[in-house]
Amino acid sequence: MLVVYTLVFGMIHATPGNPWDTGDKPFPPQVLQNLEAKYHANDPLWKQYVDYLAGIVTRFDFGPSFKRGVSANEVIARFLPVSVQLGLLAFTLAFVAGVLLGSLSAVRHNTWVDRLAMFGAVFGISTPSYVFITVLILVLAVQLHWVPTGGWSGLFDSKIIIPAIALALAPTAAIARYTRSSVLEVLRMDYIRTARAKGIREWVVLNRHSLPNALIPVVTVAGVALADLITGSFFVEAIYQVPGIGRYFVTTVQDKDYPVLMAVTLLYAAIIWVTNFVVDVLYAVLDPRVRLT
Amino acid sequence: MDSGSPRPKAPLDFALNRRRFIGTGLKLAAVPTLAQALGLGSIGRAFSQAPANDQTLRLAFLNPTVAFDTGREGGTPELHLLMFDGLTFYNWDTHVTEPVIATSWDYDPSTLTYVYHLRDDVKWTTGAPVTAADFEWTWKRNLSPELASPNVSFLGYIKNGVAYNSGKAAAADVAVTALDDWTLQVTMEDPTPFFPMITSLWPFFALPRAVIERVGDDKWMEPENIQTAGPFIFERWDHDQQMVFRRNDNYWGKRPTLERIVYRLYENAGKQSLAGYEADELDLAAVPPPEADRVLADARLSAEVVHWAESRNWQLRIDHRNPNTVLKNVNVRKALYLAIDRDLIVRQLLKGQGVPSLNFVPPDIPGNNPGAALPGGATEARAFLDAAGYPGGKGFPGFKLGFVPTQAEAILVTQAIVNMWKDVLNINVDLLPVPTDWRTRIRTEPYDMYYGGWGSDYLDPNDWHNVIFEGDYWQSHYSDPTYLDMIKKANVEPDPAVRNQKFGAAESYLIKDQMATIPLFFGGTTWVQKPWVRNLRIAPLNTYVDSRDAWIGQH
Amino acid sequence: MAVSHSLPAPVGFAAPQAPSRALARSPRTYLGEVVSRLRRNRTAMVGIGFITLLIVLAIATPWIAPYDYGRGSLQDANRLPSTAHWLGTDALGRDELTRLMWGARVSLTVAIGAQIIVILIGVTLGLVSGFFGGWLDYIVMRIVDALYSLPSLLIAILVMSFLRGVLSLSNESSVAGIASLNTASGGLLGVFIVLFLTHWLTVCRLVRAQVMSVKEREFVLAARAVGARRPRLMRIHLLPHVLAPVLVAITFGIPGSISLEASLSFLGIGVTPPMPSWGTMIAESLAAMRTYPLLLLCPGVALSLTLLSFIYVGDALRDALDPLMKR
Repeated sequence: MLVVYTLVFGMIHATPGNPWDTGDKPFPPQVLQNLEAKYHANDPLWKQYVDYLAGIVTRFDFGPSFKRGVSANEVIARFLPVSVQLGLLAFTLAFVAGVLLGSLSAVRHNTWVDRLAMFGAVFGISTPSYVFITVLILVLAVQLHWVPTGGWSGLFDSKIIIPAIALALAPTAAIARYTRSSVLEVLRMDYIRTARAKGIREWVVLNRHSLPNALIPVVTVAGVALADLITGSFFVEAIYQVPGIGRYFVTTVQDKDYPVLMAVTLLYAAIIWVTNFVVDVLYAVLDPRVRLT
Repeated sequence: MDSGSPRPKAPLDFALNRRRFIGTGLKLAAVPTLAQALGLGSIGRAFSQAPANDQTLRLAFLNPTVAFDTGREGGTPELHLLMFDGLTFYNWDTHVTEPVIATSWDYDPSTLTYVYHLRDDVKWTTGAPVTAADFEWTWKRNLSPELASPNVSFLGYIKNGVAYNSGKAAAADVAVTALDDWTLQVTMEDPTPFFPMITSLWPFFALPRAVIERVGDDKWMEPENIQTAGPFIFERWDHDQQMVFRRNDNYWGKRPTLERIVYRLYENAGKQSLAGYEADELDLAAVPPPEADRVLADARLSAEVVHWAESRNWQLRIDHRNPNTVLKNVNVRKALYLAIDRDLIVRQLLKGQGVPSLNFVPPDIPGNNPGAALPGGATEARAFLDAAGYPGGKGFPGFKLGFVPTQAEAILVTQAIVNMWKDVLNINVDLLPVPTDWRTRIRTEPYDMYYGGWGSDYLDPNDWHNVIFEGDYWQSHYSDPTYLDMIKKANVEPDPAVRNQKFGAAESYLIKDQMATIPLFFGGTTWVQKPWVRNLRIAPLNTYVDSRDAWIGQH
Repeated sequence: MAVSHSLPAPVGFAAPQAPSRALARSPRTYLGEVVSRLRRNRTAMVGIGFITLLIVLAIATPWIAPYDYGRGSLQDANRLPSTAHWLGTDALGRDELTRLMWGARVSLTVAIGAQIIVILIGVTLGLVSGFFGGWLDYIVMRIVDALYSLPSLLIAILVMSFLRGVLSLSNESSVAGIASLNTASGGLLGVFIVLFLTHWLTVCRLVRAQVMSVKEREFVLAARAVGARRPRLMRIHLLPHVLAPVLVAITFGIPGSISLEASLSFLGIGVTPPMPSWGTMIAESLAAMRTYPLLLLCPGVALSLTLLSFIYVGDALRDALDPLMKR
């Protein structure tokens, strides 16, 4: 984590320009001086590095947001839950749909079902999210009036439909592809052949014998997808006005809101670590062979 | 004021210690504004005149960041005017500074002191009265060095204001005093006869001292803390989603008909709000130029279109201090000016949202001079280029045209202009998407040219001449002594007619003679508005939605 | 009894068998086997065909494009397809087909170029790190881990801002050749750097894993016993085994690079106008989507088809290279 902190700190301070002069009206020099004094921007670089680091480590304090007038912690506290909720929903959608689609394709290998599903999956990966969500909004919200055009009212409101679908598109596709290839591998295994020879019904063969084993490699992909989904997507959130933390990944750089930028980056790193850890644990749980090693 | 959506607009910066605003340019002859001329024509279908039961207005807020601590941020007058009132109000139609919280004011030129007499029936939402002490406290708070407010430029006219802000004086030295509950005395640093007009601006609105002292500068705007004294109360704030304002039934002034105003927050309202409007979620939306064709072709939408003019000009700004740029040759600048087909850009790219500008100052500013335009077309442009020493474009070294990619239509407009220069003059110009620290860098680093916009803060020519060039607000570093002399003299001219004339002459010198900047077009905006919304205005200054007098008809 | 083998991860981490084994099994070479498998996969062949066509078009663009990508007259704006303009014109009157071709050029250059750098650095580092192990490996892996947990979009924007900030504002030359390189490529230099920074990690890890699994194999020990020196060892014995998954990773990395470049251009911090990129074309036409849908469809479909092709080819390549897929 320290490396991440150093890297981001370095990049931020290497970029010229200060956060307050990004508007069209340049500030009078006196004001700039006052602002810089207020935010310790004039301290020598190493001092800023150490001070800020100390703040984070001891008090979990990321400092004030330069643009929003509240502390960076508050920004995260306010908007992270939304992204997490939306992300979890999208993840569930993606996982269920992806696994279903993938196993279906594997079972109906090389039939039209398989080809269609895989084509859909690849298409899902290749369509940029900003295009997809714009089309969704125009079709579902503006033309058909089925859902609102934007906003957020919690998990149990129709406003969640479009962003969840848009977010889930790419992960569904990825999970579907991995599930398919994994299931195909497993289905070729000898023990499956044995099970079939024993007369076990196909359905049971699938669910009890092959699927759990097939899912093991999928867990890695799912883990990465989960990490990405929880932190939100800038495009989906910006275009649909979801008040999540994903937008901040882009806007903080443009606004030069360094404390929030640092907070958000470290948050992302932390989430990736946690998901990696969880995936590793899951591996041990699911795959007995790993446990033995 | 500089243009650039979606950034919140920062306030004016008068270059302190330099200018003498002695002009009496306040009570000028009423000039019909473009807004008045074009504004309300297209609305008004065959709907009943009776007000509807549900008086809720649904709008899109034009900036993604909401900042209405009038002391600290550039601010948006839209929200301030809903929640607060100033001592005065500047009516852009009549050019009169009207009394609001201040019923009258006296000015003593010998001591440079204003005395404002306040109403006694203005109340905070708690019921406590708004007194002169509130104003005194707020102005001092906004000047405090700890707050580091950019609005110091406005407040700096007060004696010792700047000194206090720089840490050279104490708060007590700032020359604003509440003589009693209803009398406020202010002493100016220099003769400032237009001060009453400025007190209509938001850095001078009184803020609730009790709240700010209790919860601090960051939290006092939250609905559960805030206290206001204006026609609307801030009811609810779902951060980054929406803001709701409720009518203040204890307001001392004209009671608004609207019960609620709901603002949806967008990342880029200019581009996104139209979808919400079409889904019947908004009552007003901006029509971005790419959608204009479709909107105008649609039977229902085209009937709901409204045009409002802005007191704004878009132009190409030139670095006059750069010794190596090809633009230092006036003939080159004139050639560039003449080679642009503004009608085509306005018609095709902007879809009518704007008016070609050949002079510089918008038509609703007194003292604007359409005669400042340099006549000519493509042939003359080529002639100027020849005269500059680059016949047929040969040997032209080229330059960089900077633009801000997030600014409205900047990408397309600049590309179109570069193409026109290539077609007519056969020269190559590179486009430069500017880095984010552009404004800081161009203070010291040389550049060639960049695309920008400037909107009026108030309707006086010195906002266009003196503020921009004396204060070097654009970092154009333009220091032609003749011009500076002309505008200084014009500014202090007591006779309004002569003053306008002098400014007109200065404008002519600026453009026709020197081509110090290349004007492109005046601003205009196109909106769609639900036919049952009445009396909604878009102010030409700062382009904000004025909904204080609006109401919803039955539908 | 069937030969037991460990369950391979279906994502291309399969360790290919040593070439000697394959030789013993069939008269064809490994390469020949791979190629024949590829040929049998029809979608992959279509994909390869499309990609080749694209590459040829992209290279030939400066000569065969009908118009200048930056020039157009406003009077011709937003025209429907005609004999003069096969795909119509965009909002500034520029020929859509030309811009599409140049966009292809940009996308492919950026993606392939970035991948080349990725190979150079990722493979080298992975090889070295996996082979030598120890503290070198530890350091490299810590750095890779740290970089892995950085949000790529954010880093991309940071780097682009930094680059933009360093360049000159006027026509004079500034930071040596970087500025002219940047302008010449239409702002692509920044995109290159960003893409490279974000993509070498996967390859590095992949290579390292491969090396570590292979380096204890018999033939390597044998080579060592004979006295082969380290570089030779790495180059001749280890590299071929590593190449297969790397090749697959690259084929999948290209769509990722193209996507990232499109996203950056969509945000306005990618290539400099008027140089077109599919991302900028999408951004420009998204707002007017309902009025002029063709302008969005062209770059959108082109982007999707290209990504599709690369992914299908990547799939097929991975299957072809996987020695466990008999017949």
